[in-house]
Amino acid sequence: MDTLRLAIVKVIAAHGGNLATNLGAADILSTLYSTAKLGKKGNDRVFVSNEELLPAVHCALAYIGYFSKRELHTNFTQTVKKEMIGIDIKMPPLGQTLSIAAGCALAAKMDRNDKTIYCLIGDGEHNIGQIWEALLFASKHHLTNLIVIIDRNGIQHSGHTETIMPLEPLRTKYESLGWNVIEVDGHNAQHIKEALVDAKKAKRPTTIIAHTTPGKGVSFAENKTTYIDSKLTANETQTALEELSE
Amino acid sequence: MKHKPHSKNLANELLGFLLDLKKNKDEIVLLSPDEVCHPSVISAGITHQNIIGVAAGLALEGKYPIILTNTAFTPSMNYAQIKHSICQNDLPITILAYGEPKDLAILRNLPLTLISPASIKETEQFIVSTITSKTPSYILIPEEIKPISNETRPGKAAIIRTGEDVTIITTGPLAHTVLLTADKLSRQEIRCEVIYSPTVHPIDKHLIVSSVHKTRCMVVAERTEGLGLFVAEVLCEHSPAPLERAFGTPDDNEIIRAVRHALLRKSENICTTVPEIHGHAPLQSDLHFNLHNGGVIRSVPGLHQAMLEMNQEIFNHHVNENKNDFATWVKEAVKDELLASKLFALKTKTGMTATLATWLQR
Repeated sequence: MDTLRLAIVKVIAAHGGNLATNLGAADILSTLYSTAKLGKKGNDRVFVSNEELLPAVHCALAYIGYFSKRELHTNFTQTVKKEMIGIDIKMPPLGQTLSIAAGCALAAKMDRNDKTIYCLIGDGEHNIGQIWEALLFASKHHLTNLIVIIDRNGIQHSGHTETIMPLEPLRTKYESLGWNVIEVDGHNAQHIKEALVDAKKAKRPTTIIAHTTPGKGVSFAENKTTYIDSKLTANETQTALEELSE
Repeated sequence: MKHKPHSKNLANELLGFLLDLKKNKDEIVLLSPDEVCHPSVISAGITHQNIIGVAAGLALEGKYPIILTNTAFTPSMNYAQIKHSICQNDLPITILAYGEPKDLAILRNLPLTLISPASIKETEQFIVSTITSKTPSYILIPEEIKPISNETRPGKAAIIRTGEDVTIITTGPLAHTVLLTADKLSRQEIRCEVIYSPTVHPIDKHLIVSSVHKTRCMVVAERTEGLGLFVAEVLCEHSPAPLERAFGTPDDNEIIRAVRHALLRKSENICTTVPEIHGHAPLQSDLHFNLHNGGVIRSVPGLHQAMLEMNQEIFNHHVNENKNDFATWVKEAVKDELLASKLFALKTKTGMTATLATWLQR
């Protein structure tokens, strides 16, 4: 039984949302939130650039115990609550968050503290120019305390990333900008965790390219760009819940 | 008087001050997108969108970022970043922009304090006050050295010259031109009240309303669209009055033209509204009296009000050794022989005003 994804489907069925991306990023988010030192554990920061991932963020935080699972269903709202652990800002539109994360990392460097700044960005988001500005900036300022995780699900709103605006070879692009690159299976929590540990030791800012399957765990939604912003029918919800309960 | 072009040196001129400020206040971080080169200024390259996000991140971590940038890029290139990364999260950040003043108007919907000081000295004081109050702000670096006013609290304007006939509100170094123009106009017996409003947003509503309450017309002199829009809002909402604008790089002639238009519209307002109050209907349009300054008189009560507003120059144009236009008009258009004969006997503004007042009280 996949309790995290079950929760995500329930939230999306009730409040609407991007099923494909949320199910795809679920493992990255739960691993990220359990690895980062947040709240009482420390002052790390986790930035999530895509507001559409809010259902998965909420569920992942509940899943690893930052707030009760009962609150998840009563309190879920599409508006971001800044005071929530792991969410430090009102999410700006796509493309802006990485620069903010870079600013935090720069401040942490200046203060010589041991904060790690994590930033989850999308692959389609790389179409946006500001991402590349931020990558150049982080590389120039040796922001080794900045760890970028790319949810490489291969899709964006109107189709596949390689059709709409090809990104490959993505790894080479990052390396040429002076970044350390680690590629992982984005559904393997252990691999993601190891990559996060390795990233902290690197002498350059690190990006973890996490290959994911959009719609992971629900057969009719897997790898389908159609489940990015369509509403789930009652039948679809039923099927999804049954598959995830197995 | 045209303004000198801005140069990068203006930003550098502030640099010494900023570095001193940073020495005393550890959290200050200076950033620049390839505009200022100094070891203590973080260079972000020409990444105008990224630099706003970086500043937001620094502010989240308790820093106070000051960005030295250029009006050519900020805010036109990074409006969305200023809006979402900075304003949406209430982060304290000061943007200092040198260059030709522009695009202030696109920032007007944001909770950002917009300041256009008249001198470097004032700019320095505004930087200190916005940092102290942790106000996200956008400050245009002026090209002038000479300060205008000691009023450097954000959101406050100052009356730098008092007058009764018209209010001229201005911002930035243009205030110098406006003051010279007001001097010129005073020699023509037009008494200008000049409000210097270095803060473009949020505007000092109270001062504007109280001044317009007295002068009943307003001229906005500004280099870029911004102040005029806020003033128009205030007037519409609180104290409707004719508003004229001298815009871009207005010289004294353009400001004088705007002042004359505003005065004219003021007198038109009076002439059209007063007759209804007194029960004297205005004449049909082909019988209206056209004043030399472009004003239009439509009735005897209107003539009385116009006489109160009129300056000596205009009066002398219409009433002199050769003619008495007002008396002639009353005789031919109004067809009131008695009043006309009284007016024909008079040569002074005061005398005519008194006679008209008596006639109206009849």
